[in-house]
Amino acid sequence: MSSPLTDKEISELYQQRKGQIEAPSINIDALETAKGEVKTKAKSFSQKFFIILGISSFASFSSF
Amino acid sequence: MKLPSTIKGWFNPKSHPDKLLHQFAATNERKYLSALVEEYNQTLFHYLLSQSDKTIAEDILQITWLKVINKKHLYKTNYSAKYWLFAIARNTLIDELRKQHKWCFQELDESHVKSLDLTSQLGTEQQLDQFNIIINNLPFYQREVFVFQQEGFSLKEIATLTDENQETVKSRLRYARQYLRTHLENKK
Repeated sequence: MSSPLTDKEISELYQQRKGQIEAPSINIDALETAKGEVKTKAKSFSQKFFIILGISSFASFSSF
Repeated sequence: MKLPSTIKGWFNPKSHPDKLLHQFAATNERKYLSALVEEYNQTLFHYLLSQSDKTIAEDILQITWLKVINKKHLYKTNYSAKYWLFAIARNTLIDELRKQHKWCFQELDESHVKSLDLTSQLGTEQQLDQFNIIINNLPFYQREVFVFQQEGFSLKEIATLTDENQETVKSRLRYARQYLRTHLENKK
């Protein structure tokens, strides 16, 4: 015979499901390095943006 | 014996996750971050994997911890550390999914399933497989609120986490539970 699962049984299954999953380990050193890289990438992007903006505005003014 | 974090905190207030995050924000000492990672990495990854696929979940997990490092000064003590971490993970995931136009997800990846001897738990293995399939079949938002509820968040917290009103959250939870109960039966 079968019956619907109780909230407690559902929670137990949830915990079992969670326990089955193996999370990737987090390398804090690598994160610290990545933190620097993210900043560097952001900086280089903003630099590129302003260079392009500068060139385009120079080009548009010089055409007049 | 592994004690839940709340109980651990009673015996050692310094190890309470909220204090750990607060101390990490204040001191930038790695030991506090390591303790937070140990406490929440698995939980966050389970949520992310439930809501996306292996590749996205792994990426978002890394980005979440990176954001914790970068934005630790924004942590406010009126939120629990768990709430704050889930909020970062969720927002990052949603942004990524929108970017990739991925709103349908694959089943639990077998590479993430530990080789546990579940056969020792009579009848459980099959039920757990069934449970995993059913969870994966739930629509994104219903699965999400179900996971949040199982993680111990209150209705109010789930509503603010998901940026919905409490009635919507209640309704999603009701549908999720109904779906689970309809498809999962206890073999007695």
